[in-house]
Amino acid sequence: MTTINFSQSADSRFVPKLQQRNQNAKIFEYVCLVGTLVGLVVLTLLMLRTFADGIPRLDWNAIRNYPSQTNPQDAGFRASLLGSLWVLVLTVGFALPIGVGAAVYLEEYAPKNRFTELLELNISNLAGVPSVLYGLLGLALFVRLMRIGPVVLAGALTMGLVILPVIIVASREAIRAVPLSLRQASYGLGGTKWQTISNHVLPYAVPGILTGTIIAMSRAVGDAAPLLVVGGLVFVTTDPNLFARFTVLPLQIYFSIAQPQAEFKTLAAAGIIILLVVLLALNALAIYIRNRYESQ
Amino acid sequence: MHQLLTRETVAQALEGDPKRRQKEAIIATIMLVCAGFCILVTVGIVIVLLETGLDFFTHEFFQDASLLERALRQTLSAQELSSVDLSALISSSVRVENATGEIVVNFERATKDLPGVDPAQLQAAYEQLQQSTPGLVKFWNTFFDALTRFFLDNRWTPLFGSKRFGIWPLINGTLMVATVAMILAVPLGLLTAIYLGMYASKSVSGLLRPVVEILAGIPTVVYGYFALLYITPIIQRLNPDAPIFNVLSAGIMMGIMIIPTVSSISLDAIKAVPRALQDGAYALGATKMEVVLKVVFPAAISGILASIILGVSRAVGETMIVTIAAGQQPVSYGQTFGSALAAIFNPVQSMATMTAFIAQVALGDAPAGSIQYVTLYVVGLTLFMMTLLMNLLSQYVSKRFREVYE
Repeated sequence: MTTINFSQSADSRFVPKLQQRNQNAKIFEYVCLVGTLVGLVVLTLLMLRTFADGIPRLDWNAIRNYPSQTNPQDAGFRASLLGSLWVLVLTVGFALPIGVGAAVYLEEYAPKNRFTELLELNISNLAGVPSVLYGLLGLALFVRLMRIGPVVLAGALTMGLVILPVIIVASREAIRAVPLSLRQASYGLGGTKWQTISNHVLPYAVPGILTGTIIAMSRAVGDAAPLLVVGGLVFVTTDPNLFARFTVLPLQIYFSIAQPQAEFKTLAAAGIIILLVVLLALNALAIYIRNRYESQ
Repeated sequence: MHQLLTRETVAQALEGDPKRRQKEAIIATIMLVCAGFCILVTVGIVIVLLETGLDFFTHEFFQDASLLERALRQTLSAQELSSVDLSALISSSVRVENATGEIVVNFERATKDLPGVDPAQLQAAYEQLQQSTPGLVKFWNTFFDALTRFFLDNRWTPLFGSKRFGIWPLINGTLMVATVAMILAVPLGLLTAIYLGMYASKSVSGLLRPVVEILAGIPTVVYGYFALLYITPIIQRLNPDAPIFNVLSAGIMMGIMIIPTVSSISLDAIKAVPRALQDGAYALGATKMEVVLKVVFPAAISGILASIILGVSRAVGETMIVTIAAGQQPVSYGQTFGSALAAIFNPVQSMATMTAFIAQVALGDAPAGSIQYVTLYVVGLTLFMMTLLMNLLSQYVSKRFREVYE
């Protein structure tokens, strides 16, 4: 505790220096604004350069053609685009039911006990595990132990585990936002727990769950590390199927970056534009869904 | 309603249709299984990493190496022992493929630089040791040899002819990239959080917040491309000696990527600081900057610290940026203390991180059970431990140091 001694000499007394302090405060505000914008400006500049480098290379062949190791001018992203699509659809097919089920359990069924606490801690930690480690799990479990091999199915299973926590967290938030009165009305009419959940809670939570799922999907499209470890970086010139070796868009971009020729770097820039367009489309869809349901 | 209202019929009516109850129970179980699946995933990751990762410490490589070391110590004179680099000698001569494709100890290679030693003599000593050593002692020697090499060696070259297994160069690279990233991400992330939480109007922050989040949504392979093709040339223009693959450009891009991780959690913490606390400071004549730095910031410190730790954890686990832009060359420390010190703290050099090593081995398609395959998992295990520790610490900090206001 400090006591203020008012009888101190004049020069140690509190001097407001208001002008100086107000000026500092103004400067600080601008520093904060600049700090906020630095990252965005840097990203914008880098994007513009990528667009300048990649757009001339972008034509139908870049989407229609298979990749090439010798002829970057004619190479395209067909195999990896289809690979990404296959992996994405299967990934969501695996992760969505399990994720929503887990979210329903945690929000509607789970009693308050040690096990539930453990579950919650576990999910928040899963969300923090680096995705490359899911790749190691997939490599040991799906590719080697189950002998699925480094194919689309193994990649999708691995990616499903990566996005599972994302879907659970988003679904839980959506379910939690459903008003209690809705449930009580259903119970009041004699509905069972499951009837309440399936007929009232889940339909109400669908937009939130869908938005979260699409965010998880954009993560699945963009994340390359787990699929790299599972064996998703191969040179394929056929359309993928469930048990075929595959590659995905970000990994073919990585492959192109790693080549020494300048033409491949241009190809990588074109691939990045395609990837960003796919992500933009996904996010626009998420925003559209949210706005559409919110206005109702 | 002709049924008699007895205690039993009422109880039965209240219990409901048994079929319906059975169905409810089944559905509840299915939901529980879904939630339990997440625990299975964690258990799966831990088991896979431990099972294969611990194989590293009992791998035949180290069994052969520890036996060869003892054989060499028996056959060589004290003077010869002091003149050779025993560790390098052993690393390059155990588990080598011979002409017929078998994996053996190459005694000719082990004695190449030792003119006074007969390979056959060494082999005899080796085989004698192999037979006379009891299994448990052999196991312990193997384990001890692996442990010593993993923690005490200062080079990481498991993919080369002369294999060295010191983990520190990889951890060094990982922490160096994370440091560069955090030097950028912490100030920028905090300034962003302060601006959005304290200065921006509602409409501006509603617009800016999702835009800032975009930084975390850009695929990491794109950041890697930026780092290698656009940032590295700038660095090379400023410092012509800078190599193409360097930690600095990877770290800069990673820092930009991590800004939203820091800003978003810090922003929540800043917004949770009660209005009354700030108004009290304003009433004493404080300027807005003083309120931010002396009232809001200390009150929100738990969330801010948690966000920074989470940011470090993300930086440590990030793979594609470092694989593309930071190179796959583990840092080497040289011979002198000075050169080692310079190598540890130099960001303008190629440094492999733990994640970059995992990507590198995964690309090479190492056969299961080989020493390369096993190192993949021991590095994964180390990475898992580090990130888990940081995530738990982040949760602990945000709970432990949270100020609760009524």
